[in-house]
Amino acid sequence: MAKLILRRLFGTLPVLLGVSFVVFVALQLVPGDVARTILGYNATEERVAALRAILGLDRPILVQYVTWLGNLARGDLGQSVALGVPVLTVILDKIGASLILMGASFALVLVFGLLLAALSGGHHRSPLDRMIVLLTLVFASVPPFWLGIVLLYLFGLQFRLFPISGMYDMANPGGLPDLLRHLVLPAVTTAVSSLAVVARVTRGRMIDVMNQPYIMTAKARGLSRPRIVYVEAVRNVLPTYVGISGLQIGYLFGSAIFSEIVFNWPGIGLQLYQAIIQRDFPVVQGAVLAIAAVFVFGNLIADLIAAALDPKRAT
Amino acid sequence: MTYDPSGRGATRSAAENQIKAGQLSTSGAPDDRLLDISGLTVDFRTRRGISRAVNDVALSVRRGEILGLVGESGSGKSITALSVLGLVPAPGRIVAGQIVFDRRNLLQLPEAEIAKLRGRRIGYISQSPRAALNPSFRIREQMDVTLRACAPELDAAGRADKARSLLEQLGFADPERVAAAFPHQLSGGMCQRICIAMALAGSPDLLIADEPTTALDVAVQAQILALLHELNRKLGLAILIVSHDLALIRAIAHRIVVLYGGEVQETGDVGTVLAAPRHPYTGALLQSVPDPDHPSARLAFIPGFPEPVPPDADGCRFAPRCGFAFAPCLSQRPILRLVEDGVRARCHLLDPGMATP
Ligand SMILES: Nc1ncnc2c1ncn2[C@@H]1O[C@H](COP(=O)(O)OP(=O)(O)O)[C@@H](O)[C@H]1O
Ligand code: SF4
Ligand SMILES: [Mg+2]
Repeated sequence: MAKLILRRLFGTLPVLLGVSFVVFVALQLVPGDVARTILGYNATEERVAALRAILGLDRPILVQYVTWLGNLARGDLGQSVALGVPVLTVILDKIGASLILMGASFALVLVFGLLLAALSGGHHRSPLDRMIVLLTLVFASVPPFWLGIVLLYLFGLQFRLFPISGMYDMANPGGLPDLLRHLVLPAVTTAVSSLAVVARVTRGRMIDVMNQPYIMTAKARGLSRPRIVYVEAVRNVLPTYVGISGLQIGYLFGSAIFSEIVFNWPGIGLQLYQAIIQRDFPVVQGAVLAIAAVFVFGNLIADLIAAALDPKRAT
Repeated sequence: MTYDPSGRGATRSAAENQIKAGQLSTSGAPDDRLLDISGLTVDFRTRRGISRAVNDVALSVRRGEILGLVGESGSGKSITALSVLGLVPAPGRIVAGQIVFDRRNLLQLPEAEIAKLRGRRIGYISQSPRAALNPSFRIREQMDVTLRACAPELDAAGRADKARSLLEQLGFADPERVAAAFPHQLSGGMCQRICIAMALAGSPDLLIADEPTTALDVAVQAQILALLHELNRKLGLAILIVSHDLALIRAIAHRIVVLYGGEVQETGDVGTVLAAPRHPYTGALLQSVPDPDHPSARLAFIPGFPEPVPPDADGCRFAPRCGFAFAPCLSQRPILRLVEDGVRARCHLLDPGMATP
C-alpha cells in the first residue's frame, strides 16, 4: 500500500506539469495581452512594448515557462495584473469558498449517487428502477449553467425559498445556517450531472453484482433481502463507486465554475472567470494549476480508497 | 467410504445396498417423503421463444436418503434443484407442478414463508464454492450473518461458538485462522467445506448439493464426498445431490433420477438401475464413464448434444441422439412406466404393446 501511494504520488507530477504547460501555451493564443491590460487601451505601442520587455513577455514561450516554473518552485505564482497582489494570495483567498461549494456538491454526489444506484440496481427492472434510470438520464444531460439559471429563477425568485447570490447575507450574516441556505442552489446545480453519472455507473455494477453466484447463495442461506441488497451487494460495488466518484471531482470543478458565476459565489471559479475577462493571465495560470492540483489529488485519494476497499489488493 | 471416480472398480454389491436401505428407518411409508416433487414444469421465456427447461418432473427424497440427480449439462438438473429453494433465475418461471416439502406445497406458500425454509430447513451448496462466498467479507463475518439468519436464538457469543464448532466439524484444525481469511486466500476445497458449514448452520433436514465437487481436483472431491456421506450417516441429513458424473452418484446415492431434456428418463434404486439400465440414455451415460484402467481406450460418448426444447415438442426428447429410435419415438412422448420393483423408465422399447424394430 505504501509503495502504491508513493508511486501514485510521483505519477501526479507529470500530470500537473503537463496541465500547466498546456495552459501556458494556450494563454499565448488568446487575443489580448497583459501589458496592454495593465496600461489600458490609450497607451502607446512603445510604452506597451517597453512594459512587455520588463515583464519578460518578449522572450520565447519556453523561457517564460521555465522562469514561471522556477518561481513556482519558490512558492511564487507571480502578481495579479488586475488586483496588484500576489496570485497566491488571490488563490488562497478564494479557494476556501470553492472548497466549501465543492465539498457540499461532492457530498450530494456521494450520498445520492450510491443511494439511487442501490435502489435501482438492487431492484433491477422494478418500477422504481425505471424511474431512477429516467431521472438520471435527464440529470446527466442537463447543462449546469442552464440548470443554475432555472433553479435560480424557480426557487430563488418565484418561490423565494433560497437566496440567489453570494455566501452570506450581506445585511446580517448568520453563520452556518446562513451559509447552508446560500449553499443549496449552487451545490445542487454543481452536483446534478455528476450525481447522475455516479448513480448510473454504480447501478450498472450493482446489477452485475446482484447476478453473482454469492448473491444467489446468500439467498439460499436465508439472508434477508435488505441485508443482501444493501450490505452484501453494496459492499461489492464500493470500489467501482469510489473510482467513478473520484473522477467526478474534475467535472465538479467545471460545473462549480458555472454555478459560481450564476450564483455569484466568491470562489476560485468566479475569480478565474473574471481573470479571463480581464486578461489577468498570471491569475488564470495559477487558478488552473490550483484546480488541477485538487483534481489530481482528489483522484489519487479515490484510487487509494478503492484499492483499500478491495481485499485482494489491500492485503 | 472411498470414492471411486471410475465407477467401474467397485460396483456396489447387493449386500451394500441392503445396508444402505436398512438405514432408512421408515422406508416405504408415504410419510417418509421429506421432499416430493410432481409435475414440475419450468419455462424460460427468451427472445427466441419459450424453452422448457424442466418438463413434468417427479422425484422424491425420503428422510435420511441421498438421491442422485444425473444428466448431461443442460438437462435441467440445476433448475430442478433451484425450484425447491424458490430461486429459479429470471426469466425462468415455474409454470406447473407441486413441490411438497414436509407436507407443505411450497408453490402455494407466500415468498416470505419459503424464505424461512432457506438455510433453516433446506441447505444449499453450489458447484463454484469460491464464487459462492462474498469476496469482500471475511469467513468469520459471513458465518456470523448466516447464523444470525438461520439461528436467531443465538447471541453473538453463541454464534461465535457455533461457527467454530461447525468449522471443526468440517475438518478444519485451525478454525480461527480460516475464519479470519478472505475467500481468495483459501483453496477451492476449503471454500466448499466452508459452504457446507454454512449450509449446516441452521441444522437443515435437506441439503441440496449442485455439482458440489465439479470444480475441485480429484483428491479433494473424494474428501468432500466422504464428508457428505458422513453427514448423511451421522445426522440423518437427506441429500439431493446433482451431478453429471454417474460414477460419483453410484458411489454416494441410494436412489438415482436420470434427467434428459428436462424430463425424468429413468429412476430407481441406484444399484438396480446402473446394473442393468433400461433406458438407452442411461446406458449411453454409463458407457461414457471413463475407465482409469485403460486410459488410452477411446471414450464412448453420446454423439450430439442436448438442445433447448420448446414446450409443445412431441416424441421422445432423446430420439435425435438415440441409437434405438424407431418411428413412434418421433411422434409420441413415451410415458414413465414401472418396469420392475421401484424402477421406472421413459422409453417406447419398454412398452410391450409397441412394435419394436
Ligand atoms: N438463465 C437462463 N436463461 C435461459 N435458459 C436457461 C437459463 N438457465 C437455464 N436455462 C435452460 O434450462 C436448461 C437447463 O439448465 P440447467 O438446469 O442449468 O442444466 P444443468 O444443471 O442440468 O446443466 C438449459 O438447457 C437452458 O435451456
Ligand atoms: S423412446 Fe425411442 S428414442 Fe426415446 S430412448 Fe426409447 S428408443 Fe430411444
Ligand atoms: Mg447445473
